Amino acid sequence: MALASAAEGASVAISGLRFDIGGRRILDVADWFVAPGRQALLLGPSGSGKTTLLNLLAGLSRPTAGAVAVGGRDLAGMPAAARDRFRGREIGIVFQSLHLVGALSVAGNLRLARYLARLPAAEADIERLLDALDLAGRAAARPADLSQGEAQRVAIARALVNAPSLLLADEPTSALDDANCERVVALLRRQAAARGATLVIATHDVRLKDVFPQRLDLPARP
Amino acid sequence: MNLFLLSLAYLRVRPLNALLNVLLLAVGVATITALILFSAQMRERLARDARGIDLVVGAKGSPMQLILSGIYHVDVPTGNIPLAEAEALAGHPMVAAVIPLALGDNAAGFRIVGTVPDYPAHYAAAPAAGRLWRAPFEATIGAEVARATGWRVGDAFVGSHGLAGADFAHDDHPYRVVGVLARTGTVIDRLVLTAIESVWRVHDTGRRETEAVAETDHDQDDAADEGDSREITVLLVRYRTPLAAVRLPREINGRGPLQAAAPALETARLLTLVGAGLDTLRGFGLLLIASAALGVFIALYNATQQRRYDLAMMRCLGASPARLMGQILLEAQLLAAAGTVLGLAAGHGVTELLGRLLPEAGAMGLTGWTWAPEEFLTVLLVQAVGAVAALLPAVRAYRTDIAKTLATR
Repeated sequence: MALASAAEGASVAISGLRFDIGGRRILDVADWFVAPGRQALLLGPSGSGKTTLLNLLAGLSRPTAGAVAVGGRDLAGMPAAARDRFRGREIGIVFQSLHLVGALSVAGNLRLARYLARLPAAEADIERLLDALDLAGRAAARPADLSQGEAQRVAIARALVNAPSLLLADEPTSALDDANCERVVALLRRQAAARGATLVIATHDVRLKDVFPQRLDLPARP
Repeated sequence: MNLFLLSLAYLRVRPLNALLNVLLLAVGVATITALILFSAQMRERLARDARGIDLVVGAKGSPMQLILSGIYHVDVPTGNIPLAEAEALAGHPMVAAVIPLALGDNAAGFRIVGTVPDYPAHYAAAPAAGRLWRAPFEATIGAEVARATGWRVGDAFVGSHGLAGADFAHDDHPYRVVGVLARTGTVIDRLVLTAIESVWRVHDTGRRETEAVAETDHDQDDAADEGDSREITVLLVRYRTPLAAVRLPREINGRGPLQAAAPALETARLLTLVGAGLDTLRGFGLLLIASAALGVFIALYNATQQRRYDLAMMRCLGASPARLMGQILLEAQLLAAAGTVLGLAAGHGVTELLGRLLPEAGAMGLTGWTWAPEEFLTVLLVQAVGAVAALLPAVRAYRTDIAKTLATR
């Protein structure tokens, strides 16, 4: 009963989730919920299935068993095109390798995100967002000309530009020293909070262990 | 942001590659366009010059030669025919009208044609200045002749024997320009028209039984020598009845020294001959387009490989597989469109340039400032080729497995 009520209003709801590749179990999560606007950590060593779980949360792959719901919508049950559209609007993703589109400028990358989600262009929003992420002068720059820190902030900006209800980040701090690690996590938390988005970070970085109130520990798999 | 801008951005990343493919396409399109324009205008011109002429009657020889010399004025005549024979034919019940032409000399490389006012009238050529000839050694010149020589009404010139160049000048018989015809876009623009008597008089003095009027002489001299020895070179004939097409040529060819040739038939034969050469060039153009298509294919195939992260990322951002596929197809269509536009411009430009620089092409009135319907087909062909070249890469983009792609780095 308690479970059901927790699932009802949850931003992220996982139940009985299993994911196999070639008969090998990669991931096994019984139940996990994140309330709207909350911030949570998926913590586990390499090979524990963090990225797999993130892909499942983003609707990029389909579970072998169980269900993943985002904002109350079951991802696996949606038709492919609807899932793509839902992901574009409701889920922002910051990948470990940032995957900025090199052919486009910083602002172009943000515009692309709006366009692909079939949202109207929002130049003022884009400007405000770049401002907030300390990228005000870099709108016309190419990704190749950005520093690593700038590029990561652009990736975060792109994940936020469609005002998603869920922000996912994969290993955002793995390559950073302590000072920068703190700065990036603070930035993600602040920006997610400012926009009312639920934040889920997947990481093996134990430095983040105590920063987040909610945590899912994924065990290492042999 | 839209798919168009995105495709453009991707093309800008590798400008030399895009440029190479566009240029290859453009050269292919230009080749084919120029050929289309050339053959369409040649056909048009051949048809326009021969319009309303059902039959050309002249001395025996090659029928093609008779048409080329009698209508288009590009080959030497087959010989001459007795005026009496021509007049007899003019009275034939199946003949509606005839126009006699007497050839043999040129003025500054332009043929002097002894004829009757019906000849310019047939091509709807009226004097833009002066008037038509009325007496021997008065000449009315075509627009192109006037332009090339600078002769105006009142100027005098002498003819030379032969059909081109000056090998034997008839200094003793100067012509006087009495009129310049308005431009008609037909063969008459390049002719010097005069009375038949002028040609007779030039050649009758001293050389009457060797060469009468024509450059080449044949065995009609005997016939010409008895009684009225006056000759003409060809007779342009218009039928009174369609039935004549069947009977008249056979009747003429089967009897006496005359030969009849139908322009429609000979022009078709000529086009077949020229057509083989044009087909070869057209094949060359298609080969260029095919190699450009291969270039586009390889470029896009590599691009989908290099951009697999971008493609996966775009799926993450909400793009449906169909949209990614559309982006790749659009990129190919942009290349194809650029190649087509550039190729069409170059094809028309080259055609116009040829028309201005080559005297032969200029004589044909070749111009790039016109369209041929087949060009539309070329445009469709190139767009289709672009789409086919992009199909496999587009399908690859469609099939991008996001999770797997993004995991491999």
